[in-house]
Amino acid sequence: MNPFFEHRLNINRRHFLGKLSAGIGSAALGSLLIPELFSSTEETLPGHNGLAHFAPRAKRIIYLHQNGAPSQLESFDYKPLLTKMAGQDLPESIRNGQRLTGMTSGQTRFPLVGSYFKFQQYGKNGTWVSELFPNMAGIIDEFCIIKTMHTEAINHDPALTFMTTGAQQGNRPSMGAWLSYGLGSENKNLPAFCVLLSRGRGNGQGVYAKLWTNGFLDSVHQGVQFSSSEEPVLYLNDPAGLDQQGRRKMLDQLYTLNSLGFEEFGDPEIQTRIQQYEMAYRMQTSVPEISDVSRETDHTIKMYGPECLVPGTYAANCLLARKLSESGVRFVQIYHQGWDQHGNMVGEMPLQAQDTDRASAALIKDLKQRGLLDETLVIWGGEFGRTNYCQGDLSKENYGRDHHPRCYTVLMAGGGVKPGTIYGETDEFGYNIAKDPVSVNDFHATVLHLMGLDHERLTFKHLGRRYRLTDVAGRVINPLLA
Amino acid sequence: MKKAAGYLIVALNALIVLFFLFRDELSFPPVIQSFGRIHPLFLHIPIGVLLLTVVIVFVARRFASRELVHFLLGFFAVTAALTALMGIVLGAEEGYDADALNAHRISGILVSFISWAAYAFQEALPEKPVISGSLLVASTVALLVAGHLGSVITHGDQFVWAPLSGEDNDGLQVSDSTSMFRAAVFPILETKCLGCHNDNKRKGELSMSTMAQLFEGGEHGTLWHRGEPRKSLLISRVVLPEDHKEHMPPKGKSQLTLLEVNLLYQWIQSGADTTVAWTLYSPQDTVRKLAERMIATSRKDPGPQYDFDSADEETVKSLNDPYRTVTPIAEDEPALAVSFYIRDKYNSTRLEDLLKVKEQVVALNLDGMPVSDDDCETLSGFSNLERLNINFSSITGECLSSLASLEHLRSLAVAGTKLNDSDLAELRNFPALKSVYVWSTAVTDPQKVSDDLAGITVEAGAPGNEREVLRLSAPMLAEDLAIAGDEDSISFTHKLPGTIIRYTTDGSKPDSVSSQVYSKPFTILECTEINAIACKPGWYCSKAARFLVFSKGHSPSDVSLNTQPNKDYRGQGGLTISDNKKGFADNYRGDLAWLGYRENPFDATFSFENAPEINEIVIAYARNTPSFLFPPVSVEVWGGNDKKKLSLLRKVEPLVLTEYGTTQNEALRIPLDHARFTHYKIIARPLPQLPKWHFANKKETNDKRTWVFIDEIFFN
Repeated sequence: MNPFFEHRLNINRRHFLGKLSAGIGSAALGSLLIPELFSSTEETLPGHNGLAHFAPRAKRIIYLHQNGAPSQLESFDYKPLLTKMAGQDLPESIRNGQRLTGMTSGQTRFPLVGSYFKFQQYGKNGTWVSELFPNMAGIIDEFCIIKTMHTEAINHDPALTFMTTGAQQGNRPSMGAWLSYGLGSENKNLPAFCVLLSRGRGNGQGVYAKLWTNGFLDSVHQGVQFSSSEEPVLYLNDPAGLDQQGRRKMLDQLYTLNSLGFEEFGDPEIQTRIQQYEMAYRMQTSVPEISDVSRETDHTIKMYGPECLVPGTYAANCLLARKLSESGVRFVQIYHQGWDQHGNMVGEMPLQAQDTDRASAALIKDLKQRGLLDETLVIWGGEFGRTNYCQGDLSKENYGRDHHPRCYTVLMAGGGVKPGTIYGETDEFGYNIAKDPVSVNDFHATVLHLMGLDHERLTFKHLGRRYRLTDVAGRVINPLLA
Repeated sequence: MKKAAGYLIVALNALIVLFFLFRDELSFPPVIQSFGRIHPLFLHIPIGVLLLTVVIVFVARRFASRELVHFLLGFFAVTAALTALMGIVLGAEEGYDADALNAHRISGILVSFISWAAYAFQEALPEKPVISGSLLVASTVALLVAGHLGSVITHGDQFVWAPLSGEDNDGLQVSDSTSMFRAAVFPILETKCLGCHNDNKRKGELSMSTMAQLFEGGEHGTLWHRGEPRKSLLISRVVLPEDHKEHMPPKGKSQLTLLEVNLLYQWIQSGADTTVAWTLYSPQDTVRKLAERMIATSRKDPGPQYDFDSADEETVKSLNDPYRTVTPIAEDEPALAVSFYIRDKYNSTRLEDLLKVKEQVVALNLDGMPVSDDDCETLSGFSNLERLNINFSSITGECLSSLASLEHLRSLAVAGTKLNDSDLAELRNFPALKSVYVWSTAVTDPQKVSDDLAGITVEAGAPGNEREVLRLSAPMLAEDLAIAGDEDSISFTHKLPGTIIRYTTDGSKPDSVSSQVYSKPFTILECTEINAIACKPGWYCSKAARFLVFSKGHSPSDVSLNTQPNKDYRGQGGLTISDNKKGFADNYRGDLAWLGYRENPFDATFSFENAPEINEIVIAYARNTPSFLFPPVSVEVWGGNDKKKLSLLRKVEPLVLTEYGTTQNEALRIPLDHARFTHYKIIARPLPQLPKWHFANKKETNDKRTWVFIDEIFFN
């Protein structure tokens, strides 16, 4: 609806009820005079009521985003042909006009290179996994592996933005914001969408607040970034000299003032702010409970690895993510930096894997033993893949890989996906998709479907048209569903 | 009074005639429009009055005084006239089927006229009740007709009879073998066209009731030409502007959606086949894609089916508060999911509150709440419960006996409770249980429990590798303290309970045997390098954590820089090194805590008003050798009470590094002997040439000068 008209309506409604104050009678008459007066917008937008469109398979999501794009060829997409053909040029028929990044466009040769790390088969299906991920390999039957994700972008920023918001340009609501908008918050004492950041030892790429923006949605849906310090939410504690009663009194007064402001201006952001104050107040109780790891058993700490005791590490964030999710946080987004191996694949990839493998697997095991895995969807993956040819100097001991948008691997577990499945196939060069492609929009449509939302019905009207997370594309990939 | 009523009736009917004749010319102001919109509400009044009149005149005759009948007839005439007036006003709005509206309008006006006549005759010819009586009958008939015609406008003409004639087609189940035509095309025609183009109406001599008739078309010819949507009547009529008189469906009727138009278009384009199954079209085919979207809306994901009623919306609302969430599992679903949050806010009453919706609750999350065995009694009342999470509650085996009556319970999470192997045997009596989560309970042999409970998955958690020994994480400072004042003390923490922390303060590495065990916070008197490890049985001791803590000492009243730092690392001038703000050695770019020197030596003068006794000067610098940040090659300390006449107190030349070392903050300590001056000058020179071992020496082009980075200078 036109915001100006909406504002007029807000004013009308208040004045109508306030000034005439003739109770139900005048309200009824009001609705007769202006039929839209009591419907929130010109039409009842589905998804607006904060309820799922149909019974959901998953209630919550933990998205372990491996930022910088981990190589699928050194992790979950085994291509022995590349080892056999190492040093030979990528055939032009395979590359088939694929554009290159500025980092390899000057290269005269594109020598293929296979994984330096060994692969082995694991689980009931004999899934090939690299030796760098022994813990995830140990529970490989929990995963549904999509080998044929593909994206449109070739550089980090647009690809990452596309992966999280469904559009490359930014300013669109992030996936977590859409879910908060679509399903609301389960636990009113915590934000529905939390963001946790960590940094690995490999070559890193930035993450920034636009990735967890609410875009054009109400700002109550914005992702809340937790601090990597000892105190995950800064400035939450009462300042010295202010007790709980004092704080409550102060908030009540503030509420009165804000309500007056809202009366006068009708700006819905004021109401958002009132809600945020109230939630922050309640977070004073809920957050210390969540950030306290002292109640975790030694067994649990060992499972995640002792790094989970050090705030700001990937392992600590995985443990925190479990605690947040367990407490009803709809969407926990973890970004782990350091996966951008343009060079020194052999040196950096093991460090990155070491920092993430154990905790990623532990998170899934931990959710499972608490009976939460079947209602929590865990996603592991980056924003694109890496090339099957070497960037920079190729030697027996080391190599690098450039960005590759045509195929990459994403793993999902729990929350209504079919465990122990591999979806899609790449060609034997690991360059093109041979079967069953999954676009980023398809991925989003499927994730929303798992959460009980029809991606075509979850819309928001902005600048004169209805927007979706999947915008104008996307289909649910049914074979992924349990 | 009577007269007034008579005049009113005449006036109203005159208005009716006026409004009727000029309805197309008049444009009504909003107030009148609202008046018109009361029509559907108001029309019930004359109906009621007429009914009463008929009953009194023809049935309950003993009440029928002339006066009363006259009053009733008058009341009826007035309200009927008002209703007709409102109807005419409402009818002037857009969106109604013209034919149906016209019939209703005329019949409505007729009702008003006849009722007027009945009133007038009863008054004028009281001795001939037959006339007014038959007029009363006539107005009843007219009212029935008008009422029916009105309902046609709002509900359509098949509304009443449709259930009888079995023409409700909602039940069509689309399967994979349903033809594209039946699955996606015909439903459009059925909802949007069939209302006028059926065997009864045959508008434009077109009926869509049978396939043969569809192929035949109407007076303007066949409906479609295979493969040529642009030449097909079905498409051209639909895409005409809505105001065009040939546009279909007619203005005011429910229009085709864009998806529907596209589908019809693509279907004709693809050959307008009426038999091939929709699934046989290629998934890439546009018709197939459009059809899938049509069908998807009719084929919902078959989720759980519940046959109980929804709970009262207000009740559900009242049960929601910040610590208890009660929500339907999806829109239009009666089932509710409930979660409790914040342990301290839980009590048994809050669980009992939910009994108001006990039939509807299918999922209950009490994770971490202090649920007792008594609460389990309450829980057994939720007869449709499917999922129950009471992890980390204080229940015992007794609770399970109460829960056994839950017929639909599929998933039970009791992780972190005191339940043991024999308690779990009770689960055999659970009729629908599929999975139970018993991790971190007193269960000793989950495998045996699992074997005894055939058909139930017992999840006892991932077995830890008992022999696996991991290295503990390092201890941390409870308060991140880099600069200690007199009242600050050092205290360690470790997040894992039961760890022992050992430390040294002399820069040596602590060990797990002889180093001092940390027991309580301690203070430091000078710049101290603390190294600490954490140990615990069953774990390897952690690596040592190093904390370099400076002592605040005396603050100079003025600092002036005698040489300029590099233009990229100017910090905040002299203030930078006397503001007690530390920087990070690994993250120095753009950080105003640092002064960086490369071309010039660091050279600054510090002034004190009252010449305190200084025993040590500590230069805090950054070591980050890969980024060329090195210790200074030489440092001179000058002192004196006259700024212009300072004498050299000390000159030190630190050893040049022989390896990269760790990137970290460092302290260069220069002892003085009870110095009492008002001015000190410190000069620190960067190493002019990188050491031989440094990687940057490989390339000729690199600038091989090193940097000195200083963030603070302390006078202790």
